[in-house]
Amino acid sequence: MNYYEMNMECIKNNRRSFYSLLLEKNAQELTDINRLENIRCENAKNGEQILIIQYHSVEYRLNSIYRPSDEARRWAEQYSLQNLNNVIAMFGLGNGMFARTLTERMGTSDSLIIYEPCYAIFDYVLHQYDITDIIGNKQVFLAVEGINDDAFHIVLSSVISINNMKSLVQCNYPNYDKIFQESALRFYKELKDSYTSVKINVNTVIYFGEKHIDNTLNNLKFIKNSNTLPGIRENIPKGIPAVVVAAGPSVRDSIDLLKKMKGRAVIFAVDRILDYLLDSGVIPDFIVTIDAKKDIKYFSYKDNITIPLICYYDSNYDILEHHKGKKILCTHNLFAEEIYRRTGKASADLIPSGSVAIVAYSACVKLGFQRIILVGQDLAYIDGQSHAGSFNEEGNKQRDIFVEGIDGNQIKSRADWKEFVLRYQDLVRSNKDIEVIDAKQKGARIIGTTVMSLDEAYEKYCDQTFEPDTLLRDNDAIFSQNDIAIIKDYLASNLVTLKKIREKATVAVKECNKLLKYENMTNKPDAFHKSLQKLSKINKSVNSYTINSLLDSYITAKTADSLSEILLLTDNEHENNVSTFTKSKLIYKAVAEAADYTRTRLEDAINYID
Amino acid sequence: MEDMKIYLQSAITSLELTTKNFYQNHISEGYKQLEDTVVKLDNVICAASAYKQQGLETGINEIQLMEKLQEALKALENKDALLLSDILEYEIKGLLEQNLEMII
Repeated sequence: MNYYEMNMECIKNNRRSFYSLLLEKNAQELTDINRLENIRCENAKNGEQILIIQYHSVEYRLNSIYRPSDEARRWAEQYSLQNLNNVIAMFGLGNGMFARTLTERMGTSDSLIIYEPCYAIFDYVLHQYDITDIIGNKQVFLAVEGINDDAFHIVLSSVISINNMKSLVQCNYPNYDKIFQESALRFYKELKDSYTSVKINVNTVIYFGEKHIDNTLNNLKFIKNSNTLPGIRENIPKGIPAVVVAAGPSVRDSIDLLKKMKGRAVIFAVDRILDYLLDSGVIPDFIVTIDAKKDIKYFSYKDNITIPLICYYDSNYDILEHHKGKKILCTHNLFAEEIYRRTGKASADLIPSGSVAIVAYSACVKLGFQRIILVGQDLAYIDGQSHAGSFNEEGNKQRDIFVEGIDGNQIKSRADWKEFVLRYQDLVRSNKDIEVIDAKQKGARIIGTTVMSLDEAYEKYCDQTFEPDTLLRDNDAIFSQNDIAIIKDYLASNLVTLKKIREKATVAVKECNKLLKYENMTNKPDAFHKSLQKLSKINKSVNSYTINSLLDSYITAKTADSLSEILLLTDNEHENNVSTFTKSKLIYKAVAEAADYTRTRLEDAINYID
Repeated sequence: MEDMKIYLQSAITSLELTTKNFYQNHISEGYKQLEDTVVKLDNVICAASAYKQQGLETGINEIQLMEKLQEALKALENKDALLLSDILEYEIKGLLEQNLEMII
C-alpha cells in the first residue's frame, strides 16, 4: 500500500463523513482555493522530507532544511499545555510535522482542531507522507477549506465550555498565516465567534440561574394536557410552507400579505410580535416563547390567548400561566427528556437558542416543513428601528456593530443579532434539503437563504390551502392517565435522588476539607488518596442522575469563576492541589444548595400535576 | 583565556535565545535578539584576533566562522528567518561549542 492508500483507508475508517466529502467534491474546484503554482518535496540534511510550495510567485519552504522534526519540537515547546481539557486550534496542517509534536505533548483530555486552508497541500501530503497517526487520532479534528470547513465552527463551539474557555490555545503552522492571509483572517474570526458564542451561552445560564429550576417545576402542571412537536407532526399538511414571523421592523410592511397567507401557510409567531399581529388582524397558527425571564408585556396583554404555544419546560411560567391554550412542550435537558423516555413517547427535544425566532425555525424543521419563509428576521436596524410595534430599543454604542446586508453593503446591527445570523447559517447548512426564504427588503444577510419579497414568496409557494383547525385538536394530548401516573412516580423518585445528591455533596465538602489539610502535611497519608477516590466516586454518581441537568444552571450561576478556572494548572503541584480542592469545595456546596432548592419546589410541583 | 571562555558562552546563550524565538515563530523578537547575538559574535572574533596577535592560539577558525556568518547574512537578506536560525543553530553554534570545549 502506498502512502495515499494508507492515509485514505485511515480516513475511511476514522472519519466517515470527511471521507465521503473528499470523494464527492470536485478536485479541480478545490485546487482553485488558495491555488498553488508548484508544490514539491526535497530532502533535508538529515534525510527527512521537507515541503516547498510556490504561491503567488513566491517560493516558501515549509520546514527546516537541516532537521525538520527538531524544528517542529522546538516550536511546540512554547505551548505548555499544562492545564486540563485544553483546546488547541491550529491554522495549517502542512506535512503534519508540527501537529504531530502537539499531539505528543497533549494530555488525554485535550483536543486539537486543525484547519488546513490549502487542499492542494493536503492532497499532496496524503500522497507523500504517512499521516495516519494524525488522521487516526481521536483527539484531532481536521478541517480542510472547501471540504468540511463548515464543520470547523460547529466543532469549535462544541468542545469549548465554561470549564476550558480559559485554556483555549491558538497556534499557526509557521508562516502559514503570512502565506494564506485571507484564510487566516477567516480562521481567527471563526475562533473569536465560537468563543463569543460559548461566552454568551455561559452568561445566559448564569443570568437565568434559579429561574430554570422554578420554571421547569412550575410548568409541570401543564404536562397533563400538553402535546409535543412529534405528537402533532402528522397533522401538518404536506406541501404547505411554514412562515416564521419575528419582531423586526419589516413586519409592518408584511401585514396584508400575512393576512392573505392564513390557511395557505402555517404561521409561527414569536412571542414579542404576537400582540402586534393580533391587533393588525393576523392570527398566527402557533406562538413560540422560550425566555425564562421574559416580561408578560413581551408576550401579550390579552388574557384570552388560546393559540397553541410552543415552549420549553423552563420558559417563563408566568407566560404559560397567562396563556389559555394548548402547550406544545419541548425539552433541552435530560431531566425533562426522561419524562418522554419513561412513557415511551418520541423525544421532545428541540435545539435551544438565544433567539426565539431561531427556535421557531428549528420547530418547523422538526415538524417536517420543506420550505420555511422568514418574515421580520431583519437582524439589523431598519430606519433606526429595532423592532416592529411599540417595543423599540435604543441603539447602544457598546453593542452596536456593522454586518453585511442583503444588498452587500454594511448595515448597522447588534452583537447579539450577529450571533443569531451565524447561528441561522449553521442551521441552514445542516438542513440543506430545506429551502429557506428570507422575505425582506433590507437587513442582515443570512448565507444559505434565498432573499425575495414576501409578495413573490406568496405567489410562488402559497397556492395550496388547508384548514388551520386541523393542526391541533382540543383534546389532543400526548399523555394518558397511565402516563401521568408514571410521570408522578418518576418525579417522586427524584425527591429521593435529590436527598442522595445533597448527602453526597456534603460528604464531598468534608473530603475537600480533609484534602486541604493533608495537602499541607509534609508526607501525605494514605487517606489522601482514599479521599480522592471517594470524590471521584461521588462525581460519577451525581453526574449519572438525570436531575443533575436541572441543577446545572443553578450551580453554574453560583460558581462560574470556580468552574472556569478549575482546570487551569501551574508548575507548582501543591498550588494546583490547593486551588482545585478549594474550588471543588465551593462547587460541591453549590450542588448541595441546588439539591435543597430543587427538592422543596419539586414536592409542590408533584401535587399540582393532576 | 578565561575571557575567551566568557565570550564564547555569552555568544552561545545569546544565539540560543535568537534561534528559540525564530523557531517559535516570534520573528520580531528574534530579530531584536539577533542584534545582541551579532555583538556577542563580534566580541568572539575580536578576542580571537587579539589573542592571535599575541601569538596565542584560541582554536577558532575565523575563516570558517566568517563563511558561516556570510551564509547567515544571505539568509537574513532574503528574510529567511528559518534558514538563518538553522545556520546559527547547526553551523555557527556547533563551531563555538567545539572551541569552548578546546579551551575548557
